[in-house]
Amino acid sequence: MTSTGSINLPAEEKIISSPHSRKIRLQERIAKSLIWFLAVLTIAILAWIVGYLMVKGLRYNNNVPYDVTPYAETRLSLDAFGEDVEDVVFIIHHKTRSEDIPVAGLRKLYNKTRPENWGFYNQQNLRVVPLAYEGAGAFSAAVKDFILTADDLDDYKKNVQEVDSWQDMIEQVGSTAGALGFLPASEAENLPKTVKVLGVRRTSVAVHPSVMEIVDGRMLREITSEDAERLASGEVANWKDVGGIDYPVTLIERTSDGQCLEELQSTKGAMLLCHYGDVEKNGLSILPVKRHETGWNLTWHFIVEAPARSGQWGGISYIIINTFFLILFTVLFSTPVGVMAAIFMVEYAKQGRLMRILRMGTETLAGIPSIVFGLFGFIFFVQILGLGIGFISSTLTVTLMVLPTIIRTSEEALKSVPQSFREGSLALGATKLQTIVKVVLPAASPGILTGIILAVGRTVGETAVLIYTLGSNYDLVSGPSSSARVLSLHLYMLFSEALSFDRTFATGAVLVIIILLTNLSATFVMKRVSKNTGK
Amino acid sequence: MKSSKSVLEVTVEKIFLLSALISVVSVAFITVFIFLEGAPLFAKVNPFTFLFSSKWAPTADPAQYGILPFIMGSVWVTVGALILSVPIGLAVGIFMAEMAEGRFADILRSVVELLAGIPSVIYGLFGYIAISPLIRQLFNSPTGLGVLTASIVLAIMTLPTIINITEVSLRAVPHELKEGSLALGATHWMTIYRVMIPSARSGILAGIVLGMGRAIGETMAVLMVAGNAVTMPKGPLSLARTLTMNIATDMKYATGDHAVSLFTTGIVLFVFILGINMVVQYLMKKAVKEEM
Repeated sequence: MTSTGSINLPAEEKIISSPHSRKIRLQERIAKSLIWFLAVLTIAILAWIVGYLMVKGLRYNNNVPYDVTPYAETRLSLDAFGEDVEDVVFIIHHKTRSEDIPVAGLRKLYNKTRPENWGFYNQQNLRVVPLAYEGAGAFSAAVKDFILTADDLDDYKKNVQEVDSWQDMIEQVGSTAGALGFLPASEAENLPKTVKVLGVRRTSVAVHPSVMEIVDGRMLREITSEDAERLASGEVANWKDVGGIDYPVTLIERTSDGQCLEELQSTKGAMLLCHYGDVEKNGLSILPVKRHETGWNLTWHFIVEAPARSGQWGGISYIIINTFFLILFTVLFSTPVGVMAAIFMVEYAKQGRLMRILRMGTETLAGIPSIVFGLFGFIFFVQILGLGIGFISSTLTVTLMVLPTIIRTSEEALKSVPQSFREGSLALGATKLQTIVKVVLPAASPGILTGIILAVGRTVGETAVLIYTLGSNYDLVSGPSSSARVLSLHLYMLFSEALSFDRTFATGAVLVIIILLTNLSATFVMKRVSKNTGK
Repeated sequence: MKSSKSVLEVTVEKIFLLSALISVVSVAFITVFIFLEGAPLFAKVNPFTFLFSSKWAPTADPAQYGILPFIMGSVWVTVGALILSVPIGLAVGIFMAEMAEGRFADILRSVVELLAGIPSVIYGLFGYIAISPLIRQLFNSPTGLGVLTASIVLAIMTLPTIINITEVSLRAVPHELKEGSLALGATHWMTIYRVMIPSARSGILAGIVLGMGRAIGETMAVLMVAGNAVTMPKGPLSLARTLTMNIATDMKYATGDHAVSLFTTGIVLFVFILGINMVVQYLMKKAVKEEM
């Protein structure tokens, strides 16, 4: 390198200056600029990929249409359900990760016989425990009317747990995971930290059916929350301003009698902000409103919680642990075999036919595509050896896949151990085996370690080989024949079942972080190797 | 050291030999079992029909097994990938061997290593979510998926292979050649493309062929971005299914002859790969000889 370094600078260019040489110099400049550009482009491509995935993986940013506007009420007036009753406040256990909920969701949480799950609303796999207090006369009756429709009274009775007093309600909600209860506003003044208030979104944009008619093949399906606000404040004069029909907006005032509903039904282009309950009762047309939802995607919860409902709820803790097990056992199986193979090839085998066959075997094995390994694993380990689709079949298949990586790097590492080490050891009377174990292997160990890290990286990223050898169960690996998912497989399953792009990205971000870490450690080890051998 | 080898030494040597043989045995097993599982289809379907018929209807009655669309799919995405990755790969390889210095060289080296380390599902996800919308907008294609998107993703994936082997081959060019050229008054660039590249051509070619093997064998990334349509690809924007995708997709539900036909697809893929491997090994050997 250093010997050619001085020659790299063609100083003679300055001496010759004919038109021909100018052309050559121009050529040189263009070629070199192009090469520089492509080198920078390569870095940009990687930055794009990693950056894109990390941004998408870390934060979610969605617009989700709902039947109700994003406006959440913490104190709900019960005027429609009883005269002169106090406002109601809904409270939940503080570890439930919901801030507010559409009123229809609240009703479902109270009414379903089948245990309802918070997961439907916040992806937290947590059973809902609805609590109620019936002893507060008119207030209790009004709340019951608010959260019930007439026909699910039986479900309610089966599902809901009774408490003895408002104090008891606060204590129970604060101590029961997934609890949901309610209080009159006056009791909800100084709530303990174990309880938090759940907002309820119950305002809907009801419109005259004409607003959502199909005109010229287009229809207004939903509006943004900003548009909803502008509509409600009267800033929008015509529906076409929010992407709808060309007709003026008539904003109808809400009245306590049924007057406003009639007016809405009879006025073309009319809209009314009203409670979702009224909409349901009277069968009004609703204009869905998109809520802008954003937040952290890759959270601590996502890392530590167990996956549920095909990965739609909970986190990826089991998946991470399964990945770790796959890595561990692959390394345990492949390292001894790979290193011993390398030792044989470097220390024992003589150049010749055997060596040629061994080398060709390793190289061919390295070139076989992952899906062919998958096919082989499926016939051989799963079917012929009868190990079934599961952990052991996939570990053995992946072991074969990473073997060439370990053999090659170990070979290089062993070859780089100076011959004088071996000769010195042999001269001191050690046997060949003693020399290998006590002298050569320790000297080659950093290089071998690099190979193991590379194999880990390969194992983490493999997917095609695992689809038909590891299966798709998202539980924790429980034994050699248990089907499981690892990160890459989980990512693919989430992707192909189109369950949740947010979770796909979060899983992808975890995968990228793991790959970055393995690469960094491989580089670190390699640097140490070159330093050591440099001395 | 004159004493004869102890029993221990001999046993251990045998164990080492057995370990070394595992990879050879694996290759043999893989070959044998893929052929054993896949070849019985040829008793029912003419191999010629299997390879050159474009009708794939394994669940129809009578079932038809023609994998030409998948062979063409693999060819399309691989050629597309190489068209994109070879110029960039060569340029960056030349850059790393001849032009890069200091910190920038270190960064570029880490970048190439990372590109090689990123899992294929990540490339697939990225292609689906970031590249396909671009293709959709630029070329007005309905889904943005297909041959072109798959080629771009595969090009990025094969880049590290081509870069690394180009760099290694250029570095292996004897110094005398380079110095001689410079001494004769050739500029650095002229030396690179008139002297160094020609003398490293076998190695560079081996890198390209190796990249081709990677592209043909890749499954997950293409599965996520190529559209997976059982039709003959007609152009860069049409949907495609490759050999690998055919295996991965149909294995989910295939039974009987259909399942066998997937192993037969595996045979075709395997033969392609073996052929490519042989070419690579031949070129590598040639490269070593040329350098001496």
